[in-house]
Amino acid sequence: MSMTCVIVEDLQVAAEYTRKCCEKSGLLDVKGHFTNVSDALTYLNANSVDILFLDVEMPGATGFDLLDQLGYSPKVILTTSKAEYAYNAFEYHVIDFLKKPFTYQRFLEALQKAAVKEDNDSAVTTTGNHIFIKSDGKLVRLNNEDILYIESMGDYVKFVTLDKKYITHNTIKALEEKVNKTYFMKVHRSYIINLTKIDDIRENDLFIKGIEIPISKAHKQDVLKRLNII
Amino acid sequence: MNHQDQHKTFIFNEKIDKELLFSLYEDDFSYMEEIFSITLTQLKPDISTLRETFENNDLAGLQKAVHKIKPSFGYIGLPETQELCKQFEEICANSSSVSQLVTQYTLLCTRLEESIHIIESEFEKLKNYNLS
Repeated sequence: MSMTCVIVEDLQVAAEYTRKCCEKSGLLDVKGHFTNVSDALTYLNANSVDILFLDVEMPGATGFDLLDQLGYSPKVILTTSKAEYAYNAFEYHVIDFLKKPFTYQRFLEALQKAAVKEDNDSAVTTTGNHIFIKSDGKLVRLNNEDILYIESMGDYVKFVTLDKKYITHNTIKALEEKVNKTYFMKVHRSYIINLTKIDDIRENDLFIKGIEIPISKAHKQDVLKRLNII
Repeated sequence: MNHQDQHKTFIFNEKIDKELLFSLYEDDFSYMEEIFSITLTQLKPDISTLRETFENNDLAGLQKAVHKIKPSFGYIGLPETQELCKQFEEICANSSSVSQLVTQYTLLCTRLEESIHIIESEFEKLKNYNLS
């Protein structure tokens, strides 16, 4: 998943923080930052973007004024410090409402909602906030946030959560296309890991809850790019 | 991990909510320095604007000005100042003239000055810490 976005925000520190979150996610291409509605509209009416990070109260006009005048409907994530706008947010069908300052984890959750919307819009159902697997003769729902990693076992894979392991008939190669890439990444031919669960990385291995998982040479650079290493 | 080590060696001002900072920036002290720098640069003219609106008896402008500066304090670990700004913004919304707000405005300005001093001091400490 790769999406384009624009940040409309008059508070510089908030814009910078949002931009950094976008970069850290590795999933968003920030096309611009605008401090007022007029400049943003000029850009957005000439350039289509997938996601709009939108403040509400800005000089001259509000974020809702922008939505009223925009010729198309990007996925909107409101970023404001005023919880009172939640009702308006609902009215404008925004994807999520981030109260400033928000954590990176909360930002990812908003992005996740945008990704689900993207998938629903394009009739692709392979990503979302959960996955169903066949295990022990039943369909089991696993939330992305509960999965630590997925390990290959030949023609089977093992889904490892904090307290359980589920074995199902599938392959890492097939799953790589199906899992939500906001959370998951293939790091080795035998492993897909949940990026939010990494505790630390040493040389060519990463650790999740004390479990050592190898990172292949082919994937190492991509893994490092997703970690926002300073 | 180096988070533990840095947590021990960098001592934040007691007014700073360091847990909030770590929740936003983890242990990236260079990023914190950048955020403090940006905040200081923007807050000073924004606070001047706030003072001008008060002196000009511009209630709507005053409300907008305090709304704008409010979240800045969240980003640098001063949520109590952010909350005070929020309360003042609400008082503005429920008042009919600036003259009704003198007491609350004076309290707000005192807090803003204290907060600016803290931000300046923490920014200097962060610069030195990141250079060492």
